[in-house]
Amino acid sequence: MIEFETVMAGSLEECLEALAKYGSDAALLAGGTDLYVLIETGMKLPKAVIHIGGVKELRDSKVKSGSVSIGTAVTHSEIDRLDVTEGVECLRAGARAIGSPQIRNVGTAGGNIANASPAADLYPPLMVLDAVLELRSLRGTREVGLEEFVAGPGITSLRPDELITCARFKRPEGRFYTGFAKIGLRDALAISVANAAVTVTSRNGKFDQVKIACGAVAPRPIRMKEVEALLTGQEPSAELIKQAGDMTSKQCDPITDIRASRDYRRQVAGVIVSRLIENASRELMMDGKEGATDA
Amino acid sequence: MRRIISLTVNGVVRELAVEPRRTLLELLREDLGMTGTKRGCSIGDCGSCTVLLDGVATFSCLTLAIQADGCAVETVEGLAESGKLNSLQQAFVERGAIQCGFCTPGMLMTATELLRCNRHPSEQDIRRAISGNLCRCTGYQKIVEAIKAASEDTA
Amino acid sequence: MKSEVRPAVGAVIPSVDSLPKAKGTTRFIQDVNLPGMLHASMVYARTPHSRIKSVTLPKALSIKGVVAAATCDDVPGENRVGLVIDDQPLFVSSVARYEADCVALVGAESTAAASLGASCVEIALEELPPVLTVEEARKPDCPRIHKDGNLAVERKIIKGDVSDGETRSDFVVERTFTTPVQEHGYLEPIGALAVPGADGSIEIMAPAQCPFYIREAVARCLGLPLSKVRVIQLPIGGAFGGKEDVPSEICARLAVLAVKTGRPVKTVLSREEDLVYTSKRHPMRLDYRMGCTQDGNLTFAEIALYADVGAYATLSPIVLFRSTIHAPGPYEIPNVSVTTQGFYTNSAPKGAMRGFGTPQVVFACESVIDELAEMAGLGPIEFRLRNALKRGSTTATGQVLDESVGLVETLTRAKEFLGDDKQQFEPRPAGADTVRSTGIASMLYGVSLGAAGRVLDRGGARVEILKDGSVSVFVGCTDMGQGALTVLSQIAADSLGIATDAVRVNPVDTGVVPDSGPTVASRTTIVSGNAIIDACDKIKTRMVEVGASILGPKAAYDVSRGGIAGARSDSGLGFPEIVSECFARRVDLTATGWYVVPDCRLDEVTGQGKAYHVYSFATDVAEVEVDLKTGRVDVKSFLAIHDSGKIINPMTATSQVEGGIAQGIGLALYERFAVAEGRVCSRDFSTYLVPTSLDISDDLSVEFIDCHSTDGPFGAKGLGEPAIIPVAAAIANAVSNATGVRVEDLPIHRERIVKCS
Repeated sequence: MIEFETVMAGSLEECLEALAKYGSDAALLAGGTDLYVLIETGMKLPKAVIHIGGVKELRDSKVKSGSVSIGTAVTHSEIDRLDVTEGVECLRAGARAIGSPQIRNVGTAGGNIANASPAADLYPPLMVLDAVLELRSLRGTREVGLEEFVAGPGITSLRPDELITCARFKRPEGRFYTGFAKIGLRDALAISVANAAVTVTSRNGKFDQVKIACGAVAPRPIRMKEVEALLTGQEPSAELIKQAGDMTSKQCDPITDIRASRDYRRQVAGVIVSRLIENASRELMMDGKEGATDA
Repeated sequence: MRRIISLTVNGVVRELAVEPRRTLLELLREDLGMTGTKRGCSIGDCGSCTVLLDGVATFSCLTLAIQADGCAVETVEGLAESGKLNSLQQAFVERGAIQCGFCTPGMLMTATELLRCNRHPSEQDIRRAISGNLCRCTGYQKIVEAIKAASEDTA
Repeated sequence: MKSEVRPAVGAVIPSVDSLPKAKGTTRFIQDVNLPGMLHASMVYARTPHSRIKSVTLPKALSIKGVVAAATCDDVPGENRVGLVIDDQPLFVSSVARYEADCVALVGAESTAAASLGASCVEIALEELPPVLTVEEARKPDCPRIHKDGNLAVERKIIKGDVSDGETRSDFVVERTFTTPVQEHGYLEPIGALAVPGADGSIEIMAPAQCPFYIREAVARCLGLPLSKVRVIQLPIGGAFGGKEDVPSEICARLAVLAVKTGRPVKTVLSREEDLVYTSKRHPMRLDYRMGCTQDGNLTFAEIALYADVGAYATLSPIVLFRSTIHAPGPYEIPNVSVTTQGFYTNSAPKGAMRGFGTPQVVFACESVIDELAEMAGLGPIEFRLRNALKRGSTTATGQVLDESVGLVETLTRAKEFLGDDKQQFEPRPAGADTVRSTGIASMLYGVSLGAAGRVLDRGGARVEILKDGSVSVFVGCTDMGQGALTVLSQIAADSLGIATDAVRVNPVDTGVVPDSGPTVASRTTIVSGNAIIDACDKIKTRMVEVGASILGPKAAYDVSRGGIAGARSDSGLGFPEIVSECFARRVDLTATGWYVVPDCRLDEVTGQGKAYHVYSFATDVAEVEVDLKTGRVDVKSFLAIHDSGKIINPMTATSQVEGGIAQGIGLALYERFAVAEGRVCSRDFSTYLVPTSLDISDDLSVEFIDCHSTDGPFGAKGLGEPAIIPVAAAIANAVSNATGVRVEDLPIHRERIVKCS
């Protein structure tokens, strides 16, 4: 019989106190979309479940001096329609790509991040936005970048008494392109076989700042630093974009599993990255003469 | 340890003592005997158990009952008004959107939320909205048509 | 006399059982609970192939709430459930042949206690080397899964001389195809309830396609006469063949525990159990060689099919009969050889799934037909038209088709729709990396059980006219969502000339209606429909006798108005009047109708003869867009053109076909049932992907060619299975046309498209 205690946290303080008390015996419950399955299948047997859905400050999202913060208990559906994410299409599209409407209605940003699935659809967008996570415990507050936070499948630097309170990123300024693409085996309720997000700016007809991240192609979501370097300062061309795709494929180190083979993941990661870059170049450097298309 | 929760189900206030691990689906089906909400997979893959939680389409199989404390729950049993089908249910019947009927309660709840938020959904809006509700009988075509017809009906 | 009643047959009538389904008040097995009822959980071997040394229960029985358990030692009758071949134990006694072979059943006061109890049953076993593929199973030195070897089924057709046909061929195509396991994916997991009677009888309630199969299985395992077993069909939350053979085993196990404990016993499978334990579509390897002349006339077909039947044969002999008969497609071919072999492996039994062995062969055959057409320089439609079965044609089994052959009409309509027979099938660039094209596929489908199921191919109906003029009908075939209750209500209404809502067709109760065989093979409309007509005719004869005594000898039944017409046009008795008159005279207004499908027999050696009494036909047209870089295939539009004879209810018929298209799209593109080392990996709906609303084309069209069948009720044939049959084949042909690389394996693998382009 599955037995556990529940703590219905009413405030952030109560949350942190409960976490301090139970430590690694605690599981945080926000949307519950993953937690309940883990409990039901015996993969997780917490002694205490701390419900944080009722903590108002964790549901907040705001912009303060150009910095957007998304509370840990903000749902995927909310991310897709919040004012603060307007124009940050990669993040909205990433949120929209998760699961099904019912999952997005209750599943939360913090859940997606803390689960640290290599295929998590929020990671690539947050990584190209250079997001940092605010982690709090009774001992204090610290901030870590996403790349530092996630070490492998389900492995993070979150300490047992810590809680992700929010993800924070600077809104890209000026003219920029941002996009997200995903290859899943269906168009809904699909776990990514590969996903990618980019943010791109241009200067004088050349790529300026380029950030690319991919998921489901390595033990953890990764930034494609070499590809970014390849593109930066270059004039877009079909050849260059193809090279970017090929280089992406090379940087990937995926597994073969029930959904797809290693080769396929590498191939399509390159394809979606080159398509996103192509969209970026079209949108940024052709003055919108042609409409952007989805990758 | 049981916990006392209070929620409204289809407008009726219910107060119950529940085990922390009990799901909203179990609460509805077993504690309240409201079996209209179906169990198809228990892990959020099929949509048969969809209910509205404070107006939002939610998998009741993945929701712990304690999460619904203080919330308003709507289920298929609450759709008909004094025994008479509402326009959405009527459209499902008349347009042939029901074959085996097992996905129907969840599908109706998802469609209810959609039509509240978007009174004139496009066909694509409808397909997106019901993409978390599997149906193995109809190929979705008649369901989409029924939701569209109901939306035009309430216009 | 009252005015004419609008005919129900051919009218759009909403499903008669849809109102409670819309309210959520329909009670499925998961919603049915009885006082004192035990919840049961099955105990599985959990290893693909093993010798069971002992099954130890005390630990399980010590769990709080666990009441009793049953094993092979508790079976009062025979511990066997083999349907055609007697190869399957009810509870494993010595050898477990697949992961979910059932060893015991644990009954408890709650589902949680039952499943905990089941997990505590201790099984001591010795693992045996598992046989995982047909290739292994065929080898002479392969371990034997059953004592007579691994070859479970063998079927043959020999017509003409294949080598003679080959010498007359200008073009020959030779190709090997494979098709996958397909899971039914009905949304309602299987379950059942057994209720012991005080007098030693037993009552079963289950969402079951074949209540009469259950009755036999339960009687056999309990050692009871059939008369002491009553099966009542509950609403079925989707079946597609998956609730045909499997419920018999489950019900018999529940019955054993119910008798042992004297309490009602229910089980409802979890989704995981349902996926791992229940039957599936046969995966096949299909070796095809076909040829044609320069003019595009087919000369021969030489076909070898190898099917994986899984751990037990269950329905495989009948499924593979159908594969064999349908393998050469809906064409006149002078020389045909088909050999089919089904082999045991250590995997879940393969049973019935919509199409019943046909989608596989249609995929292979229609692919080869497309290739031959191209070699002969003909468009795919022209080539098919040239070889299509027509009235008077001879099939591969030597059967002359004497009526209701609508294939040419479906092809002609496809040609009219496409407007062109060649360009449409060329690849058309759609975007930088995407290309579009069209594919077609045709099929024939023998309706009902045919020669292989001859003995079972009959059915009954009990019709009772009540004194208020309403009509109660019991039939032997079940509604599983396909709309049988509705269509049969319409048939009853028009047989009597009354309104459909005066008719109530009841779910199957084996205590009321004669054994009508299984609800399979798209046979319900024909078998139950004709039985209803027969029953109504018997009652009408009695009514006419009564009418004649009032209106004179010229009295006759008037189906256009309902009631008795006299000699003069103004004389007559309306339906209520004649019913009251009959009641007043104590005339029996109940009748049992009976219908026997015309005899079909094949020569056992050559497979020649009449395979099925009548055939449905269809041609499907698929337009796809292929992303050559990711391998993603998008079905842009789909048109299905069916000849299923008279369509009794256009709305439910269309919905059937739309659902069939969706399942066919699943088979073609999405559904991959993963197994590794004899253990199922696809244990939920996130690893076995059925199409969502976003994965089906939003441009589906369904059309019907009304090709009347003399023997069918009001001219109807069967439709449920044809709905899925050509779908994957049409999509595969479209993808082949788009990419220029022939699709050989289903589901169409994205990785292969990427590699080939």
